[in-house]
Amino acid sequence: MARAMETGNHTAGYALAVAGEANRDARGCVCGAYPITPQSEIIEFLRGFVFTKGCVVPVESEHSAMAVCIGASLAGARTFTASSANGLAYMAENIFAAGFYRLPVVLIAVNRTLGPPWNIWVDQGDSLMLRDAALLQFYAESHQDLVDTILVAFRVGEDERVLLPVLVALDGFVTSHTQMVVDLPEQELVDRYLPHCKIPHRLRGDHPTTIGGLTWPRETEHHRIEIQEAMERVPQVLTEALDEFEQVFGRRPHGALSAEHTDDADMVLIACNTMARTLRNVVNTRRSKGERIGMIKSKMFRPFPREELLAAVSNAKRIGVLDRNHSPGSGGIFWQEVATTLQPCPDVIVQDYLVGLGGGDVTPRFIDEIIDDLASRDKAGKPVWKEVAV
Amino acid sequence: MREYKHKLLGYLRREILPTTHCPGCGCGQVLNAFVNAIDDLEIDPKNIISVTGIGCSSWIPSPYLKCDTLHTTHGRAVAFATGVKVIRPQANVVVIAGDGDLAGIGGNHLIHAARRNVGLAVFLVNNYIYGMTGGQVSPTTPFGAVTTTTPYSNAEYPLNIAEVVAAAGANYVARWTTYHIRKLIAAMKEVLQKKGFSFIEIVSQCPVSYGRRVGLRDGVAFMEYFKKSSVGVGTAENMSEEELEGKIVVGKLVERHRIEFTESLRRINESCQKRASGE
Ligand SMILES: Cc1ncc(C[n+]2csc(CCOP(=O)(O)OP(=O)(O)O)c2C)c(N)n1
Repeated sequence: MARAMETGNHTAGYALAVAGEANRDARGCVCGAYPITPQSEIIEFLRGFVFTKGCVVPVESEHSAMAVCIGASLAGARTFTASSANGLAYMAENIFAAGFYRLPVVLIAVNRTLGPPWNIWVDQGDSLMLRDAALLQFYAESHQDLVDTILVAFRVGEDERVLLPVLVALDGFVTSHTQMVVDLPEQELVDRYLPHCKIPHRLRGDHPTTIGGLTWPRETEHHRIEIQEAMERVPQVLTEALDEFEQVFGRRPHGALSAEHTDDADMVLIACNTMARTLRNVVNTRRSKGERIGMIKSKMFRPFPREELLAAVSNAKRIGVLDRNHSPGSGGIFWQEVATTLQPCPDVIVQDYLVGLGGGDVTPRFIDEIIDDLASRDKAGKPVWKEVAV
Repeated sequence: MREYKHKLLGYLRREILPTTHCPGCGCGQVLNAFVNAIDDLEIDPKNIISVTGIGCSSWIPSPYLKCDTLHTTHGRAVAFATGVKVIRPQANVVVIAGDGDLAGIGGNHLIHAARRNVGLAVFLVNNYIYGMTGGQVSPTTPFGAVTTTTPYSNAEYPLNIAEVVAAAGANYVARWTTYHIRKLIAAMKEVLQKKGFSFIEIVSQCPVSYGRRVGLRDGVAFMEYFKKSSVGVGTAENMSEEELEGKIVVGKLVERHRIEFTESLRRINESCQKRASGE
């Protein structure tokens, strides 16, 4: 392992580069690249990497970036790209297409607030806008989590039982532009971990295929059912991918979620990305004072790990969800998923907290206030807006 | 001490100056030229609607110019402006944005608005780069140039965007540089009085994100470069493609008198109404 001090963006760029390079003896790799703050250093890093077989194409828009990935994937290559905020919004049509074509493109989302008006700081409304695409979604809490999750993403997305695009999200600036010590796995280990990318329905002259023609309602329904079934196979494929990861790299990244101190906890808080790190500190401090409190780091958002979540909160009476996103007219998007999952447990209070929108800092003091609020409730209420810390 | 007051400062929102542009950037020159043009023509800023895209050059009017301004999504300014123009045909609808914005991600809108001949004044500030995001290759970056996304060399040839717009059918197309400031003001005045789609490619400088990688470290180096490399359209006509390599052809490239889009719509509408009322 090469220990390094790297920014989140260069860490992501490195992971994509070695994953792409690992396919050099097969059909190589392709990245469609278009810059947007705070993602640009990922594609700049990739443009500097000299691939044995493959290339980065600097196209004129995100829409084209994903289109290049789709074309290359259908031609058999390992493919990846990265974007943020309005770039993801503009790419959205083709993200849906990649999912419907069943292509394992890996997409890095450096979370940023959607505009207008313009704001470059972190907010998860951009990647969560894509929740209804046929797209796996993972949220990485640290640089190490990021590298590991990206490698796992290729492994899971390209598995023939899945064959779907995978999004890996990190916080804009908080993760993308800060440095952490990280183990960057060497190429030969990645070569061992990632098998050659096989797209079973790739285009080849000996078996001419037309991809993406017209369908009737019944065929559409079957197509969607197949995608749903593929999503349902993800937990199993993910477990195998993590087992293998542990064998090759000697450490085990978190799976769909990580339940911490939940066994005896009456109260559980749920968060993802860097918010989960801050939450962990607060939870540990309060536990040391004797409070029965636990937390869940939510990592996989699609498919949503309902069973794991239900099992993890089986003793909790109160659940607080931290949402760094907002679905107008409803509330936080993670909360919606958690509340749906908790339907069989009507006595549990599931309260939503909208925090850190538009890049506001989510500080330990905020989380303390949320915990106090949750502890004092006798029932859940409307989503609570936590104002931005200044 | 007497406060220094520029005679055109009244057009700007003084409270937010200075601008966010880097030292040596050409955006200030473009703003200066534009304010001079509207002042010379005595256009009331109330009748100007500026529409910008995303990028440093979109910050030329937004938020500094004291007029209605629509700061839109990346690449789409021309389409937003079309919406404004059809409902406010008498207003001066002005689009200012970058090469990446108008010629790259928004290229399709530009071509079609030119073809449609919508009465917009479009100023494309071509600094050969995506300035705002930190100097990545753009559709106008020269072949072989080093940028943050072409760290070894640019493999692509640049787009001659003014000629593309001319071919698409615009009523007026010119190219000037930030060195040719008086010609630029004169051209802007022509454009602001012209009906139909009118377009100026303003070749500008980005010393910070482009220049320092290609040996043009400051604004002055760029002025000297623009001066040295520019040839007028008349002279260029008698030069071969090889001789024109690396030159910037400046001047008016096209002037047509095709009917403007909203005018054309109005006429069709009128004749339909006449027919309907049995005239
Ligand atoms: C859909 C979308 N993709 C990407 C971006 C990021 N972005 C902001 S400005 C810009 C390019 C700016 O270059 P240019 O238009 O040439 O203007 P300049 O900054 O050089 O004046 C990009 C890619 C964005 N805002 N929206």
